Amino acid sequence: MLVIRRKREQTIRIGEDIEITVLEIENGQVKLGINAPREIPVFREEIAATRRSNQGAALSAAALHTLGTYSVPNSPTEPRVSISNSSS
Amino acid sequence: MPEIVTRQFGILVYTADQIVHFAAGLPGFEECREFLLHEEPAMGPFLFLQSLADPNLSFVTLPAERLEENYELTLSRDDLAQLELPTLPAPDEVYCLAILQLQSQGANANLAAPLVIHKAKRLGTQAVRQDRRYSAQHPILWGPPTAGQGGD
Repeated sequence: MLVIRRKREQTIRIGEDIEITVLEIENGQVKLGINAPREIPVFREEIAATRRSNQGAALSAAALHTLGTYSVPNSPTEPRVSISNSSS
Repeated sequence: MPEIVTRQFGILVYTADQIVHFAAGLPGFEECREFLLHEEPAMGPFLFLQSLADPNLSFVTLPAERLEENYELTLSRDDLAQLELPTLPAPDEVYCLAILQLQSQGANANLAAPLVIHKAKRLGTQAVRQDRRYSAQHPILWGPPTAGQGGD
């Protein structure tokens, strides 16, 4: 992995067309500004991972037929709900 | 009543209150914004999400708390906006559903990005966690025995 140190308002460039600028560093979070051509999708990694996971999870008829053999344990509790402070 | 001919479930007859609106679609399926949430009584506690835009697209899910005791749902401000909620919902106001991946070598569940559906509003979002507390491939150990040698 190439490692580059940058300060606030400094930029790195990838190829001719992609530009990533450090806008803000605060509380262990860094805010980045990204300029890229429209045809290059830019995602947070967890969104990209969710895309891949969803695409792999689209149900097939063969998989559906295996469901009857699952014995799902009971769980009576509802999940707790909290909010994350980080903004996207 | 409206109906849809699906690949997995044949003809599904539904009512408007079974439709869930995902304003942003799901990552990877951004154009699919309306899903039916339905149960198949013969198939146990699974909840199925059938796309209305694409009759071939469906997902099987389980409530996250069935997969991980004391599962804690984390919602971002974006998630709350998608659900049109000004504040956090009470746990029993929402479904928190993990999408299952069923593969021949075993099944797993995505606990890192649960589908959150507000039961009364019928609005949904996929709440992609930004931390690594839960796995996107949480193994399901109570599935069918994996195929042994010589199986068909």
